[in-house]
Amino acid sequence: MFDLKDVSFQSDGKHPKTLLDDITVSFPTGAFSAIVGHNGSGKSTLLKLLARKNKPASGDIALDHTPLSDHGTRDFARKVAYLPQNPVVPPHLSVRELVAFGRYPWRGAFGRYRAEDHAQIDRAMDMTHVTEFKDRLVASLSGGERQRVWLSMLLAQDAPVLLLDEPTSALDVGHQRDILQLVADLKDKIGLTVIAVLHDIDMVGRFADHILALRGGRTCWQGDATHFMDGATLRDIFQTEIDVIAVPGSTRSVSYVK
Amino acid sequence: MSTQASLSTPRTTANIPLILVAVLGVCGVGVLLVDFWPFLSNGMAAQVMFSPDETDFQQLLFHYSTLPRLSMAFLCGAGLALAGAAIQTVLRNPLASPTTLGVGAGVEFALTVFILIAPASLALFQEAFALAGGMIALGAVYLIAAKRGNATLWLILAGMIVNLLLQSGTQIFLLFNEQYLQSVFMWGAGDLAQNGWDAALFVLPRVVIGMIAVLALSRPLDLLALGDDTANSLGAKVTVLRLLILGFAVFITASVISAAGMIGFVGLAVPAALRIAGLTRSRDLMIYSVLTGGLALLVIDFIVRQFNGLGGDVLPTGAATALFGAPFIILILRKARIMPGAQSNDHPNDQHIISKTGLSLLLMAVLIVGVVFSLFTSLDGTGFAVLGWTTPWQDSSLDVLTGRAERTFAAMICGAALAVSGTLIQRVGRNPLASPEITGVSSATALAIIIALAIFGVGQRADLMVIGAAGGVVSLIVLLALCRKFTHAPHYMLLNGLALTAILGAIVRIVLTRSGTQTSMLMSWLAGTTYFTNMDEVMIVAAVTAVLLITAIALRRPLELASLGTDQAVSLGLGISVFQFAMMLLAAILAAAATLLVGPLSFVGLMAPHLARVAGYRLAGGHLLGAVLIGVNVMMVAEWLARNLLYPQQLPTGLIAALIGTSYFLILAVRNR
Repeated sequence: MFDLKDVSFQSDGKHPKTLLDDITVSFPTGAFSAIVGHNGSGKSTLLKLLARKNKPASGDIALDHTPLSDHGTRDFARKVAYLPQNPVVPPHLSVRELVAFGRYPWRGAFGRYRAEDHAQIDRAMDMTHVTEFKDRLVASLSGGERQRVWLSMLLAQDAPVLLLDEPTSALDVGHQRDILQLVADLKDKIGLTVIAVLHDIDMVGRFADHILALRGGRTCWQGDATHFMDGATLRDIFQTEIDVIAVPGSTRSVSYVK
Repeated sequence: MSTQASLSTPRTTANIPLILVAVLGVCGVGVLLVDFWPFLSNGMAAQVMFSPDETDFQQLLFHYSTLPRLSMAFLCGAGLALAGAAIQTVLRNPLASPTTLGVGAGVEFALTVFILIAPASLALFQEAFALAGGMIALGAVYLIAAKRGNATLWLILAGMIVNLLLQSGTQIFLLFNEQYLQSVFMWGAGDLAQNGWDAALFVLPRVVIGMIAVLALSRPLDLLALGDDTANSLGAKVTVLRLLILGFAVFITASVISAAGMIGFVGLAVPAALRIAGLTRSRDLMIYSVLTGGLALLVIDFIVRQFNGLGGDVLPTGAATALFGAPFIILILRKARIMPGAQSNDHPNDQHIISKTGLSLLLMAVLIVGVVFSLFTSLDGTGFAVLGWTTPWQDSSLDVLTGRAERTFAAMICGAALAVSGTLIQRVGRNPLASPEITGVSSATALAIIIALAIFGVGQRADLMVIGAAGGVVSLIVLLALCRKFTHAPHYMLLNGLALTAILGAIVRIVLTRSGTQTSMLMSWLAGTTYFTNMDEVMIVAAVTAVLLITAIALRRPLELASLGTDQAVSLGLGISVFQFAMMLLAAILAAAATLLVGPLSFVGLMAPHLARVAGYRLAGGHLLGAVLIGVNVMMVAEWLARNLLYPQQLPTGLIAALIGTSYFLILAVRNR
């Protein structure tokens, strides 16, 4: 889906810092890819490059074999849905009104919403279990509920690619699991490609199909979840004393800090 | 090696203030040399200073005009800079100053009222009155901001609102005493011209006493920088200390303003610049502020005097300092990290989403009844007079009715235009407190029109409208260029707009003092009278407003999308920067059209969208319509009040609207939370 070749990124300002360097990676279609790494390793920066919020200093990024910059604004919005880390919560919109904005890429400023748009909106709310509060204000919801509403908007957008920047950062462990399970289910059900920045090692090990690890702005490891949940790999990525332990009666492992 | 490098860095920054003072000192000495030169060259410098030859005009002029002016400039500059430094330190706010926090406007209002109204026997209390005016204004600002944890933005906003409220009050008093207009304007613009030693001798002891008091209190002031709790636990009586220092700062300000009028921005720019240059301890800051402020005003006044020598006209120094100083706000904004204050993250209670049809119909009904009432009813000094009922219907009654209809309609159209403009700016800027008045668009429009009218003599109102709109658009573009990141930080737009408004206000004051006979007419226009309007213009503005309102409503979907922020809006396929620019352009055109009819002061563009939002008009389309309904109603009421409140005197509608608007915000600010 996304193919990156020798991509680098520099910060603005008089003394630009190279935040990403020499990134060459392909994100597989129809898979849940996780970007992991220590704080400041460039995870969010990389995701913003994919979402066109940042422009690369050098290198090529292609979406469906077309350079990223060749897509028009609305055209791109129909292909890629992006959820920033701290989305602005509009104080005055109800849940359904917010989710309905997912149809904007398809209908624009003046196009009438047809029956199929309303069906799409209702289906998105259904899949994320937010239908019960569709007439409440988004701002009055709890963190976990809000996150589901944002996801719902992204689904209504009907884009084949979801980019999620730490979608679970403000949530407790139960809600983290709920959200990621939901995303994983949706991926299986409608064949979405999901690329998410994630913090929690065990959640990555549980839900991700493909993992890209960054360290100091460079790729340091790529692979699948089974190989990721390995003491030596994790120690190398996070530069900290960490190890894994096998879960009895399962092929999975969980991490612990020494 | 490395330790040396790390030591030398702070030393070089610490030297910048010293260099600044030295440079200004050299300039000051240069100023003195130039002024003294005729007498130095013939060795009469000492004579002219202390006992001038009464027969030599040059010596008299120098002794009784130039010399006191030099002293006044230094004293006023030093006093204001010190007052600014003290206020900034006490409130821990780099943008606080006597002028931005309403102290100046309070003193000005108190003095204007006192001079015009109080009997001569009370003249002794004039100073106490001025001091009280300044303290009350500062107190009001402080109370509003204290409720919000003294967030920089709120302090400045509260100061601005109090400023505008007091200025409207001052103007209303002035309008009824036109004979004093020119002189009060000169004074209001900060005039340092002297014809004797009286003013200097008035200011000298007061500023010195104030300075000694503030400097004596400067050590505990450092404690305040640690925060109230820490300062308390270290044994400082925070509240008493704060009140004492603020009191002396206001005292200095009041004395300077009484003697020399409003001299803006010295009190803001000097201490702020020194702080940026690396002075952190309050005692150092204050001592440097005294020197820098005094010398800076001395030099600025010298430059201003050179211009006056050429033109023959008097350019007031105070207005000129605003021109020099206002860019400093922009500089400070770039240097100082100003937090937008705690963005109100408190969850809005889960209010019910209810249809606003009922409210809209009610507003419509009020509007219709109000228009009929406004057209047929007036106050004639004894009570209500109803046209065609208590007063018999005559042939002239139709003319009366037409005249009233013109003015009422003009006011209402302006209400609508400003409401749409304000709604667009608030929504696109994602800032519920932005408005054409606050972002400087209205001031720029007024400025362009005034310059065209007073300097180039353009008389055609259609031309003026185009020129005004161009002025508004240019100021908006400047504003957008100054804060390109404005969508990320709406408060920057607000503060930059404040700086722009201040610059424009200064220029307006300068032009007004120069324009002679037109001053009165210009001023009542600035105050927003509907008296000079005619139906053709009203129709043009109405058409423009209607077309742009329909355009805005048609664009309600992207307008709503803009409230999700830049990132999300682009993610959903909206080319946000082009859209924002287009919307701001619409807002500027509307503001310019309204400004032409009722002047730049009215606060409808701030109040109507805000009220509509509070009333529950949530979505963009409804918000626009609700704001229009409210704006039209407010302006209609303001126009009726302006026409009848002091019959047969006519008050400017814009001023009444401003009084209503600013009062609304004061109540809102005090009551909220």
